[in-house]
Amino acid sequence: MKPIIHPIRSYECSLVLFTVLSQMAVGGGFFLALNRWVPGSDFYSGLQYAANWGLVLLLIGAGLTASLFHLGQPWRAPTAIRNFGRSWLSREIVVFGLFLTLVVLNLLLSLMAATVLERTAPVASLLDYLALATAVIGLGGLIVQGLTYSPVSMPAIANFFPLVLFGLTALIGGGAVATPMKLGLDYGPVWSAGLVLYAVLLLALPGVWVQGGTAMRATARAWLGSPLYWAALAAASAAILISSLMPPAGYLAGLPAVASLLAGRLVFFGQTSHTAGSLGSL
Amino acid sequence: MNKRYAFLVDCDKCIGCRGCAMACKNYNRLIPEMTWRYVYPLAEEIYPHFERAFYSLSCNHCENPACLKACPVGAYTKRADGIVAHNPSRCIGCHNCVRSCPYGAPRYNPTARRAEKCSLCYDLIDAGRLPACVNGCVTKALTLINLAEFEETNAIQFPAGYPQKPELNPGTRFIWPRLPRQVRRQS
Repeated sequence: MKPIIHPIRSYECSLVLFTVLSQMAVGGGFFLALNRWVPGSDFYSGLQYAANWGLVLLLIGAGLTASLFHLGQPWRAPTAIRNFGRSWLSREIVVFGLFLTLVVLNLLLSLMAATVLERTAPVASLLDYLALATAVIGLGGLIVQGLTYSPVSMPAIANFFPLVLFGLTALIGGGAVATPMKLGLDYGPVWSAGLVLYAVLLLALPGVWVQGGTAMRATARAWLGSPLYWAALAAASAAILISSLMPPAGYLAGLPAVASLLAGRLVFFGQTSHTAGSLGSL
Repeated sequence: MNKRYAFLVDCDKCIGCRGCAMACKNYNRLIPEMTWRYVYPLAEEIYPHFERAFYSLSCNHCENPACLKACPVGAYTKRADGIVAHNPSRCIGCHNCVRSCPYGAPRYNPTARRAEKCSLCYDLIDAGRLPACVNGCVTKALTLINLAEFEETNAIQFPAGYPQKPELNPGTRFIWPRLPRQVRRQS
């Protein structure tokens, strides 16, 4: 019988799905809000607009559902907001609960606006501000997640790297989700820049970590030795190449981009070393 | 705080018998896969003799516990005597404390579906007795100290091979092991 010494590394698949899907939802919500506020864009998009929020709801709903599988006692998940005053994880649950609520409100109001309500300026204004509030709360959620997943026990990620990574995930994932949304914006250049930055970050970080302490060096070795890491880089490179050769690349670039995000997140959770794994040694 | 209980690990006396770990396991009736106290042999780059020096580690009952801040349900509390206690009835098994503690103190029990860790046997402490691991140490290498009154000048807080996290201010103190004298006979 193998003793439980310490889970030095654990892939945490449910957290991978939760973080990637929720960040994609935040990104999708952000693009929807941007579409309403950029001058000249079609501020009233009828049923398509409602369907777009439905897609965001699907993503955040799937993400939050996946997160329940991470708990040993998921039926007691609502109690996880108790330590809001101290725990970033509690705050994450509250913020994403609020985000979910706002997404549902956006969906309901846009459905009503497309069917029963008259097309008036106040209704359009309400939709504008509701979308803006959702985007702001979503960005707040990214910040809270960045702080939740940077524990002091993992020196390689106990810094602003998770926040940057999650922000890029929202941009790249949100941009991929925006493909079927038929938005009036050309976000292609920003999306491609985000992909390039993400790939550069993945490539550069092990080189930084290899200069650090025990846990950092172990993380660098684990990342560089992981097939998933190289798959994430390959998928990101494919997405960059496709989007540069045939803009707008739509699904052709979006799918490998999302695959890269998922593979990269598996590496983030599964190959980042914990200080408890090197107790008693340098 | 006029009392802050902590462990003193005298690596000079410790022989690595794991009696402390087994006493803890026995007293707390842990499942076979679980240990709350683990004895780590020092690597040869720290102490040059293989399996001759050890750190017996459980929870360090930190002044600013990472587990307490990480827990979303408030399952951890810091008592007035410095002991960081875990309330298993509140725990939902989110693994956040397991991930957050740099010393690997909280561990996930897959049978009970929640985290567990050393409680410094606060029930024994409250009854005026010593923790099970301290009682189980045959060489008196592991002792209970009160940091508020502790004056051993040879004790160190962050020896090599032990994560240096002063922001948490872990309570455990260590006495460094002597190097053995190798006597050469004259031919």
